[in-house]
Amino acid sequence: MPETEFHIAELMTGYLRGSLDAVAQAELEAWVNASDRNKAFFEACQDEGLLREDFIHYHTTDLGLTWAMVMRKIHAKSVTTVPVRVRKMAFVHYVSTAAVLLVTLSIGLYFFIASRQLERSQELAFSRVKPGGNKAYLVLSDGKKIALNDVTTGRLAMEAGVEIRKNSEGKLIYVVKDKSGVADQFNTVETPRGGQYELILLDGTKVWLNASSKLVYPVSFSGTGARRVELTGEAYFEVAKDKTHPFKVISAGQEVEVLGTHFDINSYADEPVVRTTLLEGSVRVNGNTVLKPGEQSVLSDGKLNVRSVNTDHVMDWKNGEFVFDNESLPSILRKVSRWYNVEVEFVNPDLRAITFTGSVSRFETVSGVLKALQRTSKVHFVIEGNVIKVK
Amino acid sequence: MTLKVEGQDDHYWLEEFRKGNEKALAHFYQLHGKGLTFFSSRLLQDVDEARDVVSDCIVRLWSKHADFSDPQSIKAFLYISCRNACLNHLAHLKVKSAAQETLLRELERGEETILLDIIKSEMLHILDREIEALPDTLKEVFKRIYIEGKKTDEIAVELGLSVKTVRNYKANAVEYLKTAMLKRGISGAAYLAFLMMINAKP
Repeated sequence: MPETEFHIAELMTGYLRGSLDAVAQAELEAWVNASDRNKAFFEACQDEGLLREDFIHYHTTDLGLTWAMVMRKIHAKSVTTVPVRVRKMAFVHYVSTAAVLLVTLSIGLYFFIASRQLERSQELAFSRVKPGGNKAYLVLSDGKKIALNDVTTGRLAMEAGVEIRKNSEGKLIYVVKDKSGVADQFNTVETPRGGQYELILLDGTKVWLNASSKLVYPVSFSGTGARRVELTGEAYFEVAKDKTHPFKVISAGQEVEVLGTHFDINSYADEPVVRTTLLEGSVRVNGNTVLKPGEQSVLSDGKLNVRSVNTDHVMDWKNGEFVFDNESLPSILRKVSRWYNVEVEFVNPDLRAITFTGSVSRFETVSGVLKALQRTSKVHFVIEGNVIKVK
Repeated sequence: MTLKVEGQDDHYWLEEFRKGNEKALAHFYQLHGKGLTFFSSRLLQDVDEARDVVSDCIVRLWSKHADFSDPQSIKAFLYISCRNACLNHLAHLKVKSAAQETLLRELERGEETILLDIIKSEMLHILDREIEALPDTLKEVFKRIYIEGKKTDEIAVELGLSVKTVRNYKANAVEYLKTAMLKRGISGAAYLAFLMMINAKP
């Protein structure tokens, strides 16, 4: 059935660009004249404003979000196929005739099935641990707390002459409604473990907040000399350019000043250092250290060091991936624990020293990530409740 | 990221899809995901529900991956199962909005509106693919003006150019784009869209 519609769509775009030959033109005309509805549709398609509106609607689709749902649904299904393989092994019984052989076999089979079942229960435990998603709380200046994933799109609040909205893509966005609004009102966006969120501040600055992080920022930047925000955890910033109002990010013992640029700050309390990575433009860290694109500053015990890094590896979380480049197991598992909201326990402390290189999607269940690590045979994981044990 | 898919031809992806390669599923999803979401959210009047329906249809497609013999039948399957899922969803909604109520009644009488929505989704798909085929810089300017609705001065700041440069660039863009497209053999739908945006935003 839809083949006809696909063909009409081709004729329509051909008509719009003026590239139809006489035969195709006649074919389209016949379709248009077949009904009043078709005629109205044909005319509406030539309205530039309408077409642009539809195109914007079409284009703003968040493919990643739906894809994450697809992956979750597909991988949730594949786990249930495991028991079938266990039953097939029953055929082994028919093979043996000798009693001794039968006994040895049965013992082997018993252990095989037992280990299979253990694997199966582990498989289920793994699959119960779901990856994070777009989750966050907005705290308004009067202390009111809004769960952003629960509310519908549209206006959430008005503060300081600014409208706070959740847009159709689920982002939090600030829009000026009344320019005479008062300054000095602050909002907070907080992501739980297993949450991430994207917001657009009033000045147009885009912020991607990683799991277990918090950003405090003024609702309206008017009246303040600098645009100051405070960060706990990790965020990636695309700062809107405004030379007269430098943008400042305050986080665990450091201040980053920028004029308009793209950078990431990782300042989790459970990370030993604070890392600031620049992708575009330039930033000044703690007053005197200027970073160039591709450079990362590392703040450790009050000392700041600068090194070159592969920015793709730093931005893995924003791109929906975990990328490990010779990364230590504790560091990897800290990321896993923040995103899947699980605890980690090292049963064998020697394993803290091993490192891994590779990448895996953040939208997999936790088993996808752990299995990839386990495949190296350097390490083994067991899930008990909410705790991943490293053996 | 799992969504990143290298440039391969239709035949290659169909073969991989039949073999059960998840990358091939990602390829077909990338190709039709926007169109299907547009189509479903038109029918359902709700983006979140539309995402859920689309993801279900992709999963259904995957469960039959060995059955498809050409890329066109994949697209047809997706549109048909999206349509069915949307109608089913609307019929079972306990509380319907006025728009959903009207829509459902209309849909139960005849299918014409749905068919027109399929045509519209597919037209946007064709337009989108042509824009994606543009050279990077043109694509960048195009998206900023046409999709994000940005003005000359905003684009100047973002791309680090002077306002005058952007204005000059826009003035010359029509001619430039025409030649560039002719040289690269790009069809005129993107050119048409570009003309529209030049006229729409002074």
